[in-house]
Amino acid sequence: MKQSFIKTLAVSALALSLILGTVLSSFALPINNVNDSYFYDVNGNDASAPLAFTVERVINIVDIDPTKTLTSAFTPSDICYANGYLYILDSLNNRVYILDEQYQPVKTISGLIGDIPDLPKTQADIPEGEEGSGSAGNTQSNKYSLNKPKGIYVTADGSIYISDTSNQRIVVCNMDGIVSRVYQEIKCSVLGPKYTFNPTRLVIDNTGDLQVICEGINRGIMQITSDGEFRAFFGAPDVVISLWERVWRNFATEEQLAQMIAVTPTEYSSLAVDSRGFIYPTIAALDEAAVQALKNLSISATYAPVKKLSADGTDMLRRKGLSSPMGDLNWAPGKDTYPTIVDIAVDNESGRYTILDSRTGRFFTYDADGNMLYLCGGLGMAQGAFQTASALDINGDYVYVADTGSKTVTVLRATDYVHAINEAAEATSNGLWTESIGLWEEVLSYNSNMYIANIGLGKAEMRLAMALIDDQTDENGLNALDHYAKAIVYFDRASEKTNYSVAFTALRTNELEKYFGLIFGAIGVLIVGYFVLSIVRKQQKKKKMKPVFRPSDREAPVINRAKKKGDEE
Amino acid sequence: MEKAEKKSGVTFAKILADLGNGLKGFLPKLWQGTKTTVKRMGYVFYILFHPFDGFFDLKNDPKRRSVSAGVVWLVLFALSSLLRYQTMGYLFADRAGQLNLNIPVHLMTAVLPIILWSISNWCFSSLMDGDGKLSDVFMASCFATVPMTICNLIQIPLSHFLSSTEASTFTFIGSLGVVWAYGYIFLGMIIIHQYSVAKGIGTAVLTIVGMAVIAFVAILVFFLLQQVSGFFMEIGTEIIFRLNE
Repeated sequence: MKQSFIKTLAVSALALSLILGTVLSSFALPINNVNDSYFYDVNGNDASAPLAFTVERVINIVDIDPTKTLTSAFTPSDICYANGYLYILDSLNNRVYILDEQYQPVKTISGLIGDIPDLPKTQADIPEGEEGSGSAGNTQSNKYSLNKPKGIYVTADGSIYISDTSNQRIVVCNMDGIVSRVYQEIKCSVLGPKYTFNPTRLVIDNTGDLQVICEGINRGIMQITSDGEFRAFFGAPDVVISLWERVWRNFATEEQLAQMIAVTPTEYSSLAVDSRGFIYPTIAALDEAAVQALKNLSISATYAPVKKLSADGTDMLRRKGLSSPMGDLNWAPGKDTYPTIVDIAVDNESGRYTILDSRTGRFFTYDADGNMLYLCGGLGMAQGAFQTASALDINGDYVYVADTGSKTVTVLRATDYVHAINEAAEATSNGLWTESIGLWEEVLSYNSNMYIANIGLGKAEMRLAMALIDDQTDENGLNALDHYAKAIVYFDRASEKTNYSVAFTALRTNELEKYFGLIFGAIGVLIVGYFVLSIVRKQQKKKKMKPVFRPSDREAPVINRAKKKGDEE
Repeated sequence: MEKAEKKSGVTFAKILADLGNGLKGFLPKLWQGTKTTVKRMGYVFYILFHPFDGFFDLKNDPKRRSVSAGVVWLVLFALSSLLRYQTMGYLFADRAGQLNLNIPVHLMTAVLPIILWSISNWCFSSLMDGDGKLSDVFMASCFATVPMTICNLIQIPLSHFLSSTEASTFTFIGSLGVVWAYGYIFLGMIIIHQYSVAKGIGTAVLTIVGMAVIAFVAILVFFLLQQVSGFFMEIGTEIIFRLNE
């Protein structure tokens, strides 16, 4: 009796747990789950993939300034990692927070010290400027403090360049706030004397020039020499006018033209510089033509939201991937769902770059060829998701993402999966073919949809084949043809037709050589046979000419011919 | 009663007998027809190299004229284009398209233009005193698709053999087939209607415009029919609902 009771209890407990399990698991839908990681397969469809980054730490205002509360105002508009410190620019409190490797606050720049020239007069002279930036200017327009700064860049020698946007200047200072140089009232003949210099994001290239994006200026990136002289604008985004629009504009009256939206190039949203001096600007606000082109996965440079500009302003970015580097391939349905690339960071050694899309809250890493390697992030309140991502910087394994929506800076750390991809890609680019095979196979063991790994394997096999001469075999007893045969399988999986064709040609040449005699013997026999047959036929034709109805003997009676029997062709 | 049974029995036997006799007559007829059709299909190889005489004889010589042979050639063209699409070598294949292939639609895209061309051309040629009948135009156009069929069939083994650097050879053969076939459709048309080349070009342009119009009207009718049928279906469901209440 007791035993049966226990049995019943056990069975019912089991049943209950089963029912509960099904019910609960049905509730656990992966909606807005940051751990629901994905990547794209070779056809551009999203497929599950291992998690690329884990959240190491979320830094909020209390971590930086313990006197404040979580609800305190904090707008991390830009961040920069340099020399072991993380610099966070707070454009609301007009401060720069400096954190060390352990993300502990080291210093805060709240005021500027030193011999600072007076602010440009243009803004103070306008009394009715109170509705706009003037209201803040009245209280804070003080040459010893920042005013809504929007960009920060720290050089290797520790100089902090701050775009003091509303004060119309760029300030160079050290960690203590001691100002060494101020760039303001930049004379620019192209724009005339009355333009306002509102710098936002900036970088310093390897010649010491400042590369500055300015608000309201769409002529490209402003180059300022280290002496404060205006050098040039460069790399203005292309203007795309459709043919229809061009025709229409020819017939429009002055009033209609005035009502039309002025066709002006879009402004850049951010930029980065690599160690060789290439500038990587990004565009956030895409025009209609660009949106349509990108939606159809165009890889044209004209519509690209990410560029790589050389010193003369030509675009050098390689776009060999499934799409032009732009973030997600499949956009959410609806209007205005195109990616909004707000920041970019470049890894100097490998040439990889990471772009941040604030619309989806995701960041995407591309290799130097423009292949997407991995992605992470998402929209939401959870750790590792963002609301209004504003800026990003990278430091080896770490990615820092500033979010003005949730008022945090998130530190993310690369997983082993990402390590595997990076190591394998580096082995391939350094020509370590044998090593790269093992590394790419490791990547495939993490994610079998990773077509980049198949391309890497195929390339390695092809290089190994090219290194072997004639019937020479390597240490595994494989000859060149075996390697080509392997390569072809990998390229097939990755839809890599260019390299597939090369390996295919090598294999085909071998087959042709093998059967050369047979093929040409057969062709010879066919030609001889044809001639013999045609001679025989001529002989037969001479014997019996068939009546043929021709336009030349049109008058011949048709009906009579039809009546003849056995006259069929 | 008996009479009726007898009668019905008789009729049933009679039907069976008729059917048997019919089949007896029909099967050899079918066999004979098939044989003639296959024989006359072979005439296309004369047309390929002697288009002027070939198309003229095709229309005027009762021993060569065969609409059924044309239909078979058209069907073979559609099948060859389908085969080419699906068995193309990796380097030339459209893989995503192969996976999502819609066979009826693919066959239709091969067959419909020829049918449309024939109908439209017949409409215009009867206005512009052409000699040909609808069946003549259709038959000639069907015979003219054979170059495309041949080139499709050549392209299949080639695509497995050529690398992408030699793709120009592949595309050349494809376009050769297309140009050859379109040229013969045009030639067939002017020979069948006894047109001059200038008149032929004019008619061809009008025919293409006519094809567009026919396609437009066909789509319009299709959608209208869809709406009408939808209306009646709705009435039906409404009635069923009311009856069930």
